[in-house]
Amino acid sequence: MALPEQDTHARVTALVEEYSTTLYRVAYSVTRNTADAEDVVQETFLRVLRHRSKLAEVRDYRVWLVRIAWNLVLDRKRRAKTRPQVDDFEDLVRVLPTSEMSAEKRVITAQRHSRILGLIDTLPAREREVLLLSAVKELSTVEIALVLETTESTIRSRLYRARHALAALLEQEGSLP
Amino acid sequence: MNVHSEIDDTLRRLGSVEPPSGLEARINQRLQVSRNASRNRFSASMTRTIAACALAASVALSAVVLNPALRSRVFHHHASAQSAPPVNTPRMVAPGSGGFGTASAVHVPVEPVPVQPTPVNQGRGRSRTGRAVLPTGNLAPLPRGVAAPHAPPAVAPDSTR
Repeated sequence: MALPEQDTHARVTALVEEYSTTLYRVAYSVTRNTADAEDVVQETFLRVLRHRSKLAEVRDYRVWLVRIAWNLVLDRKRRAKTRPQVDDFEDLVRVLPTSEMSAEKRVITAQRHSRILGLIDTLPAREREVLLLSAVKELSTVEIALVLETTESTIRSRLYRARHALAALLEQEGSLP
Repeated sequence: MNVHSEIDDTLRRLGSVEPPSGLEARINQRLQVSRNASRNRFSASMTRTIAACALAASVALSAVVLNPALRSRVFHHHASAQSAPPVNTPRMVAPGSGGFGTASAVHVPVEPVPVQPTPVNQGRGRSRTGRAVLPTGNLAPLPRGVAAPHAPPAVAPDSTR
């Protein structure tokens, strides 16, 4: 049953207020670009507006919205056919929350993060996706499983494999200070 | 710092990125623009639909008025319907003086009611005998159980057969 137009308007506005930050983090974990991530979030809510007749049927808004944003950001990445510019760590220095550090230490930390994010991009797609979604602090393992339409045990297993593979890559590089 | 805590730190920072200021306002603004655009599209399509309907109606009316065949068909139909002979309906007779009648009361007419002769079918598709004529020119077959000669007998039928 569809909601009245006024209720739909209010509901969408409430969803923007409640979930835009989470969606931005989900999008940023893949794009690592402020403008692209914001564009994905806006596009997500435009999709919501387009499918507003389904709003009354949605049981878990967070999972529903994250799934829309996740599919959008993966589509965008596939179309771009380019990896995120992780070597350009200036954006990471500006965006990642390291404000308590000195300027020099912030740059060094950003370099480390940039290197690790670059290695994450070399992981197999399924493991990489689970690792990136697990980074978003608002999402539980159950919710990640719902977003990726799989079981919670599969998510745990992929997460374990991803972390160990990443650690092995980092140790292999041996370049961490 | 070991490798796992380094990974945790990177993921934690990545997952707690703060969105740029004014994100919600920009989203709401874009949603409003989209709503207005869809509303305008809807009203434009309604206007186009109404205009198309009006145009179609005027074309149809013009065709009826200007085409003599169509006009005669339309107006002749109405005229014939209005000038059709009255059906042989039961006649209402005013109740005789002397009080109110009831639904079950028998009203005897003061004068004898003239009965019109039964109309003879003389229209198209009817033969002189009163049977229907098929488009092929033959008489319509009679229903089962009705015996009738196809042609008038030349000689009297033999009763012994």
